[in-house]
Amino acid sequence: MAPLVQRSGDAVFANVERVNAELFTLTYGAIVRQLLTDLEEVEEVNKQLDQMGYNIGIRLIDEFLAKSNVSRCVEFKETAEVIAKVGFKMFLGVTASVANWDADGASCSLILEDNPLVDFVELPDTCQGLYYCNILSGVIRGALEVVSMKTEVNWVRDMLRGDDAYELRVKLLKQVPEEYPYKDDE
Amino acid sequence: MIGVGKVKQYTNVLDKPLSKGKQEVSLSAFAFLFSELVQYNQTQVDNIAELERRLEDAGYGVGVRVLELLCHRDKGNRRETRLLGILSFVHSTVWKVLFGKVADSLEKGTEHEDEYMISEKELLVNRFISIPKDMGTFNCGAFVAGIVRGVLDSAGFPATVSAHFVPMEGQQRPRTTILIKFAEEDGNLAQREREICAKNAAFMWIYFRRKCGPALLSFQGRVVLFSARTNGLSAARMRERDLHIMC
Repeated sequence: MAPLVQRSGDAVFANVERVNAELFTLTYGAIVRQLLTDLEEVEEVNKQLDQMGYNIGIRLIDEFLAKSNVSRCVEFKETAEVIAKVGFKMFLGVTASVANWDADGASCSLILEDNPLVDFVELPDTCQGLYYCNILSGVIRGALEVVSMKTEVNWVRDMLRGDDAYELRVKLLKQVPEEYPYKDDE
Repeated sequence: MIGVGKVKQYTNVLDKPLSKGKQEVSLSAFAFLFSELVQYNQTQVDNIAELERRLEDAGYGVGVRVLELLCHRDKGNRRETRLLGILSFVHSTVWKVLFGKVADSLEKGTEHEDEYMISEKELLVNRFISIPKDMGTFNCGAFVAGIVRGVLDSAGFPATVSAHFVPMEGQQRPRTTILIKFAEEDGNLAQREREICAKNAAFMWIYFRRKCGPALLSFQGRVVLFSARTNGLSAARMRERDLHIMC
């Protein structure tokens, strides 16, 4: 299962239009710099980045489903694999790995070794509480919410804070059944 | 702990090896990110001019860093000192690295001495953006104008840069022009260019007078001009060898 998903991720990435990762990195840096100047509080910036990520995620999921041709995921384990291998590859050009499943399969870690958002970045002492890549947690949360999964996404490890990789903890809170926006008898 | 785990730990980001610049992300990832940048700035301003200024400021930071990165990686730490040099650097190298292709055209303005224009049929940043009618002449290319201004400013050529839509006949979408207006406090830029030329010529003149002696006085005029154009001491030395043989 896993190698097949990985190969489809590579295939999709080869088919989408691509831009230089440095433009992406530097634009993201410009965004974070603007937020820091405007909001000044590191916690506020974290929240704003998460919100921006959420806004991106709710639209990104449409493009993901349209271009990647993945079949419907049966359980959360599959969802996590698809996000890590196809989702990340398709948009960021890097794959993540899934690990640390908890007992009931509702919570896992996505581990990123390579992250195009953080090239050339170093956190100064004044911003030590900043989750620089918090936009990613918002994207995942937003994307999963549109496909009826309410999740909570947190950072466990962050290379900019001295750890050895980026680790996101994704926890499935509940599956919301799909609601039709109109009544049947109208 | 440093050095534990698969990836080598670097305490300082400056110790990390510089990437080759070949890594790619999808265009849609960039488009989403840029749209969030514009949307966030829209909430922070009251009018169009302010929005353009903020986008330009965001681009300025990108431009400064792009110049540093490219000068170090692609040009071996040499910096451009001539106006046309820096303009063609922006038009070809910067555009190629950031947008994957060189800009469509680089033109000199006809009305003013210090105005130049880089044109592009459709800026990458504007691919998925449509401007509502009530926003008038607003152009998200202000971000790219900011990038260009950042590059020029940190290279020592302060300028005002703006992005404009220019409607073209027969085309549905207007092309975008980045207008660069160089700022020179005392006089114009052409004067500075002439001074640089004169300084180069004077240097070559002194070098040759010392090396070749008065016998070659009649050749000096042509030699000096040739060396000033090639702008390299090795070329001047070659010329000197030829002249010695002739003597």
